[in-house]
Amino acid sequence: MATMISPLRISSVEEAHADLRRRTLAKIPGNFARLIYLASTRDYNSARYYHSGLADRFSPEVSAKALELAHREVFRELVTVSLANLARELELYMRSTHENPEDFFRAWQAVEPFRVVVPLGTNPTSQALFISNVRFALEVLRANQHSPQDH
Amino acid sequence: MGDATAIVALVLLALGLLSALILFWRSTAGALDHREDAVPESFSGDDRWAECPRETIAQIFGSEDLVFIRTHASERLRRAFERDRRQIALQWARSAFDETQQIMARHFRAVRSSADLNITLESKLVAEFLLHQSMCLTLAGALRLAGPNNLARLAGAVGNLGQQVGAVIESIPRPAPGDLTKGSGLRTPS
Repeated sequence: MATMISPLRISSVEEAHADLRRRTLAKIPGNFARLIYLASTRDYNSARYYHSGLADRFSPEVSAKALELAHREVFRELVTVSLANLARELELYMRSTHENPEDFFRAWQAVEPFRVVVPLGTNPTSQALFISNVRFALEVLRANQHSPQDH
Repeated sequence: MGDATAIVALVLLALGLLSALILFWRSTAGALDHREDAVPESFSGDDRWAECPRETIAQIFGSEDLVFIRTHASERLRRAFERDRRQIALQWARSAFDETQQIMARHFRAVRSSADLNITLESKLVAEFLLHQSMCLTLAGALRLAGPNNLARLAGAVGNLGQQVGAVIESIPRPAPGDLTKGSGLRTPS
């Protein structure tokens, strides 16, 4: 018997989104780490989101929508914070990676992985501001790592 | 020379000035397209970009981040920061100009064959559109001269007027099915 694909119910997506926030995102320290995590659930080639646990509990379509929604939300939160707060978020993320700070700065400034964490459809101005802010936050953190100041 | 001739001359002068400013805008806007951070047209997954949050605009045109950079970074970094913010602010002003131009072009295409054209409403729309575009050009000029700092009020006014143009178009009965603001990137107040 052919199965009919029902349109995604908004309540299901909201439920999956709440589940994702509660079970997964709440355990990740800081919005920058959450952004990196959510971007990593998006396939590089198809730009489709996938999370096996969430897809099992709901459906691949619903979980993909919930991940996309969360990705947009976290990005929006980060793109609207001040540069000082973004630098704090970035520092928190850097510490959570347990990488040597100098290696981290070198890699991030050379490869600029933050360019691929922007959700699709993001306003070009928001995208440009985010990329610029991360670059300056990295510069400030790197410059101040040996002479810590109150930022 | 009568009053009417003087008014016509002034209107022509204003239109000439506006055209010159638009030409200047177009010739300089090309440089922005080749910025390192310029986003290709195909970036958007659904032919439409999300709106730029108000907080983002406030941040671009505000002074909080510049104060942070002044306190925590070198002079070289401060200059780079100011240059970057100016380019981002110009990018926003240009997109506000283009989006409103697009929605007006769509609107004119839709209503030019309409039998029940509301002249008063259309005049109001054209006046607001011209004011919006002039403000975008003024903002761009001010940005080139002084940078985005202290221009938050003007940028806010541009954003509000853009929404107002969208609201006027929304209030005009549609001659054909479809949302005229769809795909234009222009937001209407909810």
